[in-house]
Amino acid sequence: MGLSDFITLNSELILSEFVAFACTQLPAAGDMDTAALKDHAAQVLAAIALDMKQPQTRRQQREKSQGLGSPAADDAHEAAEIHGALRAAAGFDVNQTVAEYRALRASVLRLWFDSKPQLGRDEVFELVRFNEAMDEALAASILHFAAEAAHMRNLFLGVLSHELRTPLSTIVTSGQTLQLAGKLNKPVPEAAERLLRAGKRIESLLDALLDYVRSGLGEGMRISIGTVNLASVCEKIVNEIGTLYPTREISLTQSGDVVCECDEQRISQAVSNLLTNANRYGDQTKPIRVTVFAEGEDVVVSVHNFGPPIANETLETLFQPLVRGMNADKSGVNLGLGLYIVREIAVAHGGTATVTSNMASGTVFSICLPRKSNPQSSKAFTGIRMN
Amino acid sequence: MNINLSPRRRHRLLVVDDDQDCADSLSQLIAISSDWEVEVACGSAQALLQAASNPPDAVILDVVLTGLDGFETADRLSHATKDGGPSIFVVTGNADLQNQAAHDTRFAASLMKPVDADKLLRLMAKFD
Repeated sequence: MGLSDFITLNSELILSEFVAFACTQLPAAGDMDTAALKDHAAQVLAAIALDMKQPQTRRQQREKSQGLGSPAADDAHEAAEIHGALRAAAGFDVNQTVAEYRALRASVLRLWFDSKPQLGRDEVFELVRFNEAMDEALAASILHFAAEAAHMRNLFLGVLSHELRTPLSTIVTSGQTLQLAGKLNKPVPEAAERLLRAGKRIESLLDALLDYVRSGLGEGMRISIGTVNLASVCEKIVNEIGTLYPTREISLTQSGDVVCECDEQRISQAVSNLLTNANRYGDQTKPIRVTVFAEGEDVVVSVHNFGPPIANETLETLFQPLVRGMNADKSGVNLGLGLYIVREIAVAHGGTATVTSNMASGTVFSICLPRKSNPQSSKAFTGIRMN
Repeated sequence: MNINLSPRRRHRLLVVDDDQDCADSLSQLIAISSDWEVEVACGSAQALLQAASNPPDAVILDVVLTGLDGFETADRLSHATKDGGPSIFVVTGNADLQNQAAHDTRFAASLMKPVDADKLLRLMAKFD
């Protein structure tokens, strides 16, 4: 059987093999569902098979190598462009995006050779055309990947500037107020408090950036395990946030044995990120509830706040830094590093970070950690439960 | 001879920012360095409510706001009053938005965070 017919008839088999590869080899694919992975690969493959069936002169072959394709080749091109842009938005790096094409090409060729085709002149010619079409799709995908990555880099810098400039503005104006009030002999303790809070915000933003860059370089989150009472950790963070925001009511409840093997500093950082978010985005008039409880072999910390629910489409990408969707609504602009770091910390402990959000019961972020230290186990998964 | 015996009303300023500390610090600095009466609104909804009950002469408006953004909030603030609405000074931490607002005729000025308080006070002095 010719290669193009083989692809058309066996596309499901090829795609299953491709998805199995993608899920094991590509870390970023762990956050995507199978359908999302398959989607554009299927379109690229179908368009390539169709293109291979069209007669092609030497001139057309030359034109294709210059990026001037047939309508079917244009379809493959378009599917590949969308693929490239989507992969950049989903947090793939360029190696992973290329690896998907390598996997797709390898899956097609391995399965085709396994079917023991008669390799005549036509089959070899088809093989050449298949490789040309794959190369063209790959080039189109990478081009759009690069464009999307550049767009996201600009977005990152814009948002970083905004996130730093707001507390910086507070520092500068509070400093000027203190200076002026000093001359007038007028005490303004609240200006000093604002100045300290803004300084803390910049500090945690810089810490988050460093963690993000380190984990992006493949170093992962470094943790140092000890025996920790999570209720004490939460109490400390609740007190800290309470000092920074004295008007905000925060409750803490504990049930069961909540001692676990973990990195105390990292878990403090994660709980602090969750509480800071709850304070910033939750309904200011209602209390924030922190609950620490034992659940089987795990210990769970959950942070609850009332307020407008998070949209379902936002929930899907909430733990990813710098997702494309964030620009759709300027009000939601932030680097999203806080939650990304919460997830990295949970995953580094072999645990999970999850969120539920709806109008009636509010928003709950939970970190679930195994009681016995189990860093980076296969359980490492971050999920979203949508209500 | 024509003498106006009624005391001159103090100018009113509304500072609108989602970030409470950022709004409070700017409001305190202006209150301490000028004769203006300053109010703070944390977000667009609160800003519209406060402007309706106590119309300001000028508004310092952040662009990145929850709910309505600064541009839409500015439109509503202008339409809410008969005399064309308050003068609006935009402040933002985003250079693109600052640039966009600088070319927008709805705004009296567009400033980058951290806010240059001297410049802002000079702009406000034009009301006297």
